[in-house]
Amino acid sequence: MKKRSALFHINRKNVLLILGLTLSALILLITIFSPLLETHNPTKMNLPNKLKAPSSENYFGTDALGRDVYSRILEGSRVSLGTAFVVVIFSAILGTAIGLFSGFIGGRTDMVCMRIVDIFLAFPTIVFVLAMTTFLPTNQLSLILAICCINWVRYARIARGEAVIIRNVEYIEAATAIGNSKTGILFRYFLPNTVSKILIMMSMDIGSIILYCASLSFLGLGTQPPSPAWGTMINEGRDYIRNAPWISIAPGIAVAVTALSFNMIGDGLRDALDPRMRESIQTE
Amino acid sequence: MLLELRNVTKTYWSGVMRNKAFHAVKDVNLEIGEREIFGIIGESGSGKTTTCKIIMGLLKPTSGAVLYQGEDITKLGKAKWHELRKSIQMIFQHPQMTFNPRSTVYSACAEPIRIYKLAKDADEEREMVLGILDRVGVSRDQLEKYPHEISGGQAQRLSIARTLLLKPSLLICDEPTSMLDISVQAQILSLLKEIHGKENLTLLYISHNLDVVAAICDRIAVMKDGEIVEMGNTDEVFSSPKHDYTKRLLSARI
Repeated sequence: MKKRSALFHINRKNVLLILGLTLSALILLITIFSPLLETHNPTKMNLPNKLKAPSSENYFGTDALGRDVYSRILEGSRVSLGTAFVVVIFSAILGTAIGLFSGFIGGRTDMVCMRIVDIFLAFPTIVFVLAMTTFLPTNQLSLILAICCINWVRYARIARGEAVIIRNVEYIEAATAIGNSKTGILFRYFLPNTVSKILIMMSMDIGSIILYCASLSFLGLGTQPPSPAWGTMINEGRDYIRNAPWISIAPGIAVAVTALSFNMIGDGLRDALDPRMRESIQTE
Repeated sequence: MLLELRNVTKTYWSGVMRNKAFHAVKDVNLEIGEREIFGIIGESGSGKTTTCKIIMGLLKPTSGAVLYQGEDITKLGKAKWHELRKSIQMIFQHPQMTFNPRSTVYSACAEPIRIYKLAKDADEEREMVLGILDRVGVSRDQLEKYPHEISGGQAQRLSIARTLLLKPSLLICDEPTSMLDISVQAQILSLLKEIHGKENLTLLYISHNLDVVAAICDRIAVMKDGEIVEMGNTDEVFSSPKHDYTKRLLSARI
């Protein structure tokens, strides 16, 4: 009998997941090898060549300063995806830890933790991040920090909700009965049974964090010109949207495709991570 | 006496001022001797399961003492309980819900071995698991399956196997057959009886099924609303019930 892992059950039904994974892998590869794929220096100005329409020389045209949009998108992928990954991973770890702990302990601790989470949730994210960045220097790190500060609460909510459900299930009593310690139960029972929900949330979140970063750098936070980030690029193209729409549209498509492919992973994972959705052994 | 319950009471408080008391278990006294099969019968909500959980240390009684081999186990610390768990084991009512949905039959069964470090290496662990599963009649093609993929009967055999690995001296069975169909019920019961015959094992058998209790128990206690209303040898209680409730219970038998 072939060995299978307890976490992933990929089968024919998971077209969405496979599609999402392929697309994201492609995007990641492009990001990693972006210096090799760039046709021009992404920050080098070439004023005589400004606002050129897409051609075989400049695949996505040039912007108002004559910079190649295609190369800038490739360069910007590093910033945008890098930020998204750091934010998602950091807030997932923080949120899951707090949420699981809160749900596991229960009682007063749980109540206090959840009220704190509620306070954070009551803030609109953009406003909160704007407020945060006024205290912090304008750079990518402050942006990451600011988004993390509010984004963890969503993970905390999910992890806590799962923990509360699991706490009352009979197998937790059975686990205590065969001698598991509290920490053992937390790590062997609560964590694995929550991790799937968190992974789904993470893959969904990557898309929205990219969009958040885009909107925030559009508002002038985070990456500053001339270094390219997708949001900044969309912002820069705003003034020329009538006669040179490619300056905004090309990075816009990049954001949309990336967000879409990660969302597809999220949807696919939801099915794949549920052992009950697994095709039964007998039919294999 | 292996196990003694002295005036065990479990009260839940509800209401805004915590002023409404609900006695899940009320002033329960019982004694179970070694190698005995002791039955507790009663309708749903009569406090049978709460009693079990108190004995298992899963719940703390509001008052009263649970003496196991003369020692009050409700006052034991964590470390002592960890050791004691080996001697007091429990089989739960819903077989498929007793296991972590994310671990296979094999790892569910190996769990107590890992917790109590009963095996020196992976090979010995595998040997122990296979041995015990053979003994309770879980077939080997089930090893890599997940709890939701095996039948209720197999799952209940698995939970019996898992408890036996720890070589308990007291095994609490909380309605282990109520979720199974009749032919499987009989198999599980005969398995329990066989194990009881071979090992130095005391069984505390909880059920609402009078026939099951009549078939295997030496002595029984009848519970109603958290109290024991009648206790005695199975034959005596069944042939000449003294309490009204027991009479009604027996006459309701199909």
